[in-house]
Amino acid sequence: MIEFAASAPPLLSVRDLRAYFDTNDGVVRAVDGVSFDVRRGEVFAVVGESGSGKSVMATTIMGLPRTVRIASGEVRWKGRDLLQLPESEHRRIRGKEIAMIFQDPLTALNPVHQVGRQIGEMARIHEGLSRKAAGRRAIEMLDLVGIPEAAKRARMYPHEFSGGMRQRAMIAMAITCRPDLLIADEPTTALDVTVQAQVLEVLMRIKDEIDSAIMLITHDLGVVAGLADRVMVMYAGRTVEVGTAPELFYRARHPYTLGLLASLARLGARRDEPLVPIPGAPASSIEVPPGCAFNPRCSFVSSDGRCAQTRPELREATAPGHLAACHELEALDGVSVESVRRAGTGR
Amino acid sequence: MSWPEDLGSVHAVRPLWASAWRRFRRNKMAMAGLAFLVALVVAAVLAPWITRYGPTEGIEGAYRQPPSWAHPFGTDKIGRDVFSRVVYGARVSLRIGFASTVISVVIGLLFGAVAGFFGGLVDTLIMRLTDVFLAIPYIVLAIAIAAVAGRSEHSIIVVLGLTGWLGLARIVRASFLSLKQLEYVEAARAMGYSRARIMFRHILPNAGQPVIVYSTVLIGGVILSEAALSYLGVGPQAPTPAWGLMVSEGKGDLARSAHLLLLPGGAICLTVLAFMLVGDGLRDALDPKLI
Amino acid sequence: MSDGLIEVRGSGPGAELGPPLLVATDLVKDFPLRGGVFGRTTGRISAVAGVSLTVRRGETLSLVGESGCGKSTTGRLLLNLIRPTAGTVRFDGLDLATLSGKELTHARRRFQIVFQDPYATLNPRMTIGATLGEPLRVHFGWKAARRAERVRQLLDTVGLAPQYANRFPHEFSGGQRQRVGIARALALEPELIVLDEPVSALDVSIQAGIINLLQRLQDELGLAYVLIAHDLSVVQHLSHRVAVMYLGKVVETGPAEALFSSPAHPYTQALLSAVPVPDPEIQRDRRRLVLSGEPPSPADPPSGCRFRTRCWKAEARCTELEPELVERGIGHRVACHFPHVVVDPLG
Repeated sequence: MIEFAASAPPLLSVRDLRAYFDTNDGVVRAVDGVSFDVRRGEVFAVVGESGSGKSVMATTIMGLPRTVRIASGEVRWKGRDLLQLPESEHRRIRGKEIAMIFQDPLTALNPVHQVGRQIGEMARIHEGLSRKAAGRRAIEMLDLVGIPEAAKRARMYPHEFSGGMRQRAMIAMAITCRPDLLIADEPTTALDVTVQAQVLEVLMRIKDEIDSAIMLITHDLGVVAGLADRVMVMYAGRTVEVGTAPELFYRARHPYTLGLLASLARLGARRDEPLVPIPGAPASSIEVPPGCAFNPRCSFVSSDGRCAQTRPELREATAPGHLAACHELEALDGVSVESVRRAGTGR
Repeated sequence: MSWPEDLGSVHAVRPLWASAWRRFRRNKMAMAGLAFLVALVVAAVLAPWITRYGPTEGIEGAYRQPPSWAHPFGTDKIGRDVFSRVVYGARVSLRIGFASTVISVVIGLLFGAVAGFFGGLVDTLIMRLTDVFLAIPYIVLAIAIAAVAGRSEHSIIVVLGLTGWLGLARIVRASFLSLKQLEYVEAARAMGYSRARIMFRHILPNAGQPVIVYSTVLIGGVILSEAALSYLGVGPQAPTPAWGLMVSEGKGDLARSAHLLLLPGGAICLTVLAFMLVGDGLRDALDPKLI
Repeated sequence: MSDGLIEVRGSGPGAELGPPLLVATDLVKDFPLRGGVFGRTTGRISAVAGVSLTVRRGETLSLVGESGCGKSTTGRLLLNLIRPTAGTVRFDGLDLATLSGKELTHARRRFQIVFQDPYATLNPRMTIGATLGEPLRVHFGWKAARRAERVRQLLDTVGLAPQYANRFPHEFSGGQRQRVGIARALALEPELIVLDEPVSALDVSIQAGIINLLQRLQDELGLAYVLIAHDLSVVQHLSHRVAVMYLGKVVETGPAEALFSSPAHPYTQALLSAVPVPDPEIQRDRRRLVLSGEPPSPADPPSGCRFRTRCWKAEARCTELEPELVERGIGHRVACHFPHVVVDPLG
């Protein structure tokens, strides 16, 4: 079993989770071996490109997608395996102990109900609050996420809110029952940067206020750098690297993480410096390359052909709790984002 | 020679039509409908070879016979073989169905495309025109045309062709309106292509899927309307073996010889159902979201 | 001020800016708001409210700002894809509004556009070869063999294998489609290309390759770009000059280096400070200017300075008097009553 070097038992512990979709074109291995822990009160970021399985992984933990087939793995929540729970018990945890914030609040909020009522509904279902008490709670929550004139806004409908306001309302809804874990799936991707900054600030303030952990799913490494305590990088449905934010950003070990960091256009970099793309396109989750899924795009492939044959296990990289799934970890010692960039630009 | 910036190969994806056919094949109901239609078309084409009697040929002494080996669908009150009449009737129904649908598709495509592409005043005028047409019941129109041009297969084709394009025009207009927004259409404008080229080469082919689906269902609907008009006596005249006419002729003998009504009626039902099923199957198979 | 302010070409000191290629003067675009049963005009959205720009040969001018600021509309006005309510666009001295249909078609060879969505930018029913060959046939009347040769050459230019010419768009990845979109724009050998969010729909690891390609093409072909983008890291990487837009107006414009290192307009400062930087230490230590609220509706813009409702510096004067663009450095112009340079927004 993988050790993530935690002192206290983790809040959420996922091991070798595999969630597949059976489609006409074959089995889509959306999640294909993901392992990680989320600890109480931390911000755990999950990073990956489109098709990396990060969103399916989140909804699987929430028990949401009906068509998904769990091929293996366990999702331990406070010691209990959520995948084994009957739907009725899972439902009791969903929303109350684990809540989710979706990317697009316009589709996640019901257009025909007042915002306040939708927020209060959570409290009515999970805590049995009266209509009146739920209404008060909704206003309190809207106030908490920084919506001015909360009492008035609670009676408005989602389309009367601006984009940033809707995302705040989504957060208000998610935190109504003070969950222990907030799963935020690309919470700011649809927002402009100045509004993104506001929403992220609210999210972090709320986290401290209600003392919950946050699982932040995003493709934006910049957002991750500012907020995350620990980071997991996913590729083709698999965990390729996981560790603390400084470990990941300054001592990344997996060639994919290194490549991703080296490929970014950075504010403050010189204009004439070419960027270093990762060659090829992200792996399709229908035809995952054998062995390490990243091997066709990797510039550190071993000469003995292991990378195209055997799937690498997560191993300890630079520090306890910093794991990477790569055959060539030892050979990568001393490789940095800078050196990858230099090699890529030929300077 | 290598292309260093792009090592990714293209995905091996089946051509659009092959994957659509693959999905269609998996739909059992649609396949059953298709099989029935193929059988019906074959029977209609080969009618003289698979029937023993002509459709209007009276057989001496064989009046109102129930189904038997000699006459699988029985005979009617003047001694005609009902099986022959149903098989020949398929020719009439399919002819009317296809011909009037072609008229509807041509008119509908033209008006819908022009309305959706140009928008504005042109769009408003065309849409109001369709509203006017929608307000005229096709039966009234049919009776009017029959009164002027006489009762015939041709007038029924014209009537149904002139009333069937309304829905199609709306569908084509809607897809033109949405396709017009797509970037590749804007790209075509930025390239300086002519309006005709953009309309026919860049928008129309992509509006084809809903048209195909709608037309398939429309054929079924037309056959049903044709039956209704024949039943009312506005359509082809006796002794033409039209299904609607046969039902109408058989209704008087319902108590004694139910097969005279039920068999042509069943042919109408099955044919219409088959077109609906195939249309439904096409809708799912051609859905671009699944490609 | 140092020479660094004027030296904006990446290709080294002494690189000369070309002569003006495209000059837009006082562009205005209003969209009518329709309502009621008869579609009467009930108001107007002022999407672009008086924008003047100059693009020189061989340079990249970037239009940045948040959604609704009018940058995409401006891009389309520059290409005459939509007609301005007022103002003129001159391309190499030709007033686009006065051209006849035929002359405009002819002129269109010289300016092209690359779109954002790689999945909507190509006609799904045409092969890549047909898509790329069509403009050559329409504009030059070339025969099939000559077109095929040019198509091969175009594919090679954008880094795609020539044998892809007879494939259909759905067989390609997002990054590859975007390359085809660029090849199509290059087909007629234009002098200027409007790039409308060319990488924002692509995965991070793919973006770098497209950015490098755009930069290489500019160097090799001497193209002028108008880059419309919201990702400031990308903008900084590609731009020589930048115009920051807010609610249909340019609030600050200048050489990229000056604008990024010493932004003077409060909105530019806030925008820059909100850009997430993929470095945990920088991200945690940087001074953040988080704006309150969201941009007001362009149907009802604020009086005076349009930014004043979100500005921390706003005073009575801002409500009454609309600030003009005033020269602050060489080519660096700011529309603010209280401009103040913050040095190094990353610090």
